[in-house]
Amino acid sequence: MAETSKVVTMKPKRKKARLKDRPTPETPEAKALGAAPSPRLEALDALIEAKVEAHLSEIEHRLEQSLQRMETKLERALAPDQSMRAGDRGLSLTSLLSVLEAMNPLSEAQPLVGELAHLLTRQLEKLGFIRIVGQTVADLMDHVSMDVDEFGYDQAFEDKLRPLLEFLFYTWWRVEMNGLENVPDRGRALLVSNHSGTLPFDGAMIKFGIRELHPQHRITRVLMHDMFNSLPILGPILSKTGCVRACHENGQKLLEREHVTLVFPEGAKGTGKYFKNRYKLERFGRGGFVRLAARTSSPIIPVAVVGAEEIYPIMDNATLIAKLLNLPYFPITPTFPWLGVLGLIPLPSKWTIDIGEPIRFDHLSEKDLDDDFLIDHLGNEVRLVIQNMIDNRLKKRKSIWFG
Amino acid sequence: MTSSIVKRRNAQRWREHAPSGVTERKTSRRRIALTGVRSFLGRRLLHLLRKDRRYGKIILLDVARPEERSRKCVFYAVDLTQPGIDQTITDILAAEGVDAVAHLAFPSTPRRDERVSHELTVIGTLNILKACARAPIHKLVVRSTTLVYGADYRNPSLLDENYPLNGARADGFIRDQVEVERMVNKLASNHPDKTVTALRFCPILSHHHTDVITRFLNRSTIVTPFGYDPLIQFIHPDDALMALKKALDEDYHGAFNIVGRGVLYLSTVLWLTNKRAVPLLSSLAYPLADALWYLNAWEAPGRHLDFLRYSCVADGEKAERVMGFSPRYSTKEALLAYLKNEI
Repeated sequence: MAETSKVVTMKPKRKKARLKDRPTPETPEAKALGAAPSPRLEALDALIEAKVEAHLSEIEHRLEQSLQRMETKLERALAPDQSMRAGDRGLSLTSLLSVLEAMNPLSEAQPLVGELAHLLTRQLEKLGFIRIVGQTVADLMDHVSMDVDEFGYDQAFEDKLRPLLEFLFYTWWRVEMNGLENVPDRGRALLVSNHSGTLPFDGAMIKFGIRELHPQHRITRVLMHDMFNSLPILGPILSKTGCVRACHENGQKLLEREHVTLVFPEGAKGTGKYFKNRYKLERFGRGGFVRLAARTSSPIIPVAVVGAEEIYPIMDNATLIAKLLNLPYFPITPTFPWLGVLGLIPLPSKWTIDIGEPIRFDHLSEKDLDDDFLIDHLGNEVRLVIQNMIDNRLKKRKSIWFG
Repeated sequence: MTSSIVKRRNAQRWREHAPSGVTERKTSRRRIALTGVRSFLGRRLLHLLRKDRRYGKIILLDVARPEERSRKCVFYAVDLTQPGIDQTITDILAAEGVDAVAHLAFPSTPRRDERVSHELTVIGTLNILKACARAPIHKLVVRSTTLVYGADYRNPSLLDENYPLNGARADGFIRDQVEVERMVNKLASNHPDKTVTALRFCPILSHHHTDVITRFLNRSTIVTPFGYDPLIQFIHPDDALMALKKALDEDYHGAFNIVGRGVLYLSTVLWLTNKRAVPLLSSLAYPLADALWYLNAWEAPGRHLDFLRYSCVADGEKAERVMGFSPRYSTKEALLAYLKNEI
């Protein structure tokens, strides 16, 4: 039409050149029939390999260059020149700085900043946690997702997060997992858990624990609150680790594909709970998860997490800031936001994750599923089961920090 | 093995559509009217139809004569946006005894002057639909895009055909497409005797085609909202064409997502295509993109950055189940073919 003609005439030169470059016009069908998809994948792999190699050789080259530069600088700095003798103490500040500068690979661009950063990181390296975080962040920054499933889950990415999760699971929170045998070895299952802890660390720990300790090393897919999906940086990270937005469509598709799916029916109400209300479960939505489980005939497996409530004790909620930042809540804890980023370090409570026996709702008819009151009631029943598990665990627990 | 199956299937189809008797066979050949023949898909579809013996006359409705000529083709100079043109089109369709109409005349990228693209998209479709409602045709196939779902953080990971078309919130270009979908849907419900198919294509990846996303990929530097990494979906042009042909050959009612299998993260796409991404805080990126758009230095209005921020991934399950359409190339393979300048 008129529009298309304009597009063509807008860049006539390029168009012509392209048409000339084109090989003899094969029929698209014949082309598609002849091409087998597998060599293409191999070619892609080769392409990626070539790219990685080029990247590596470039890094090598740069490193070599900076090493050379450092050597020459060291030589110059350590040579007994005039600047050294000029000072009364034999070693002047400038020469000391230049030695330091020579030892610092970052010095080329910004001498002082690079030096300070280097010194600072060397100090902080002594703290294991910082090192793990730094290493993980550096790994993740370099990561390019190649194999992702249709929901965006990237196993290679999750593997890179492992050191951090390992540290949190085994060292920081010393998570104890009970009842792993209730997670089926094969096939779909809907894990339903209480939610707490301001940031969704409980999801990460349940997921990591099942992957680590379950005999089949099953990969749990987590249904997350919309908010996390909308957040910069955190959103893509969660998505790459297999979290998807919590909605009926996603839940159904995950379960139909036989995934272990974890849902937090409390939602943001759970994570944004005040410390004084800890371990008192919020409303479980309106029981939508019961409908989901029944429709897909998957067992509901109750999960009770104890310990996550104490990692960020929420004293108050700054509703105005939350509203401005478009968040469901903005927590005020004893450390956050007062200590800034340091306030984000969670407290090292002792965690226990109890996994209960499966509950089945397969017997519900389509008519039952339409009954909102019944579904709400059943959702509440599940809530009580989990509340019971939590209460039992709390009775046994002697200390928040040591379990 | 597979080729023999394909042959047999074709033979069956042939028997269906071609009863015995030479004179009858000639009249039973399908007659099809095409709009937007000079578009990327239109040009290729015409090429396929010309060689397909099941199709008789091909009626081309366009403002200018396409390059490809054949005895099979009859060209009518028609400007779809002209008021009252629907009567002319109705007459043509009736006089030529057209069975099926493929409506492909849509701008593939937004225009700075929204009115122009609005005229072609909405008014052009309105005229075609009016003609189709009156003329004795039995099939209409309309090209649409998955952009109509819009990119939003509240989207499910895989959008199916029943999901509300929220793309209208974004900008005029997509709003027009959503309006087209609404009109097509209305025609389908008012005329249950006609088969109405809307094919929602995800971005078609080709150097000869200009989608919003593919135009982004033609740049060397690209502004992206900071901290986001949406999932991207592409389809190989051959697959897109195959789906279009399938919708014309056989009868499928309703809307279908036509997408490549699998997804890629935007970061991966940018890495593979060697683009420099300039991440900017979202609150800065949108106005900047808008400003660049009006200065002719950017490919789309600011709101299109939504597609570089949140995922808009459609589920091709229905097309596979109902139409039996399974793409030969995955998103990754399509991108590879694109990088090798094959498409």
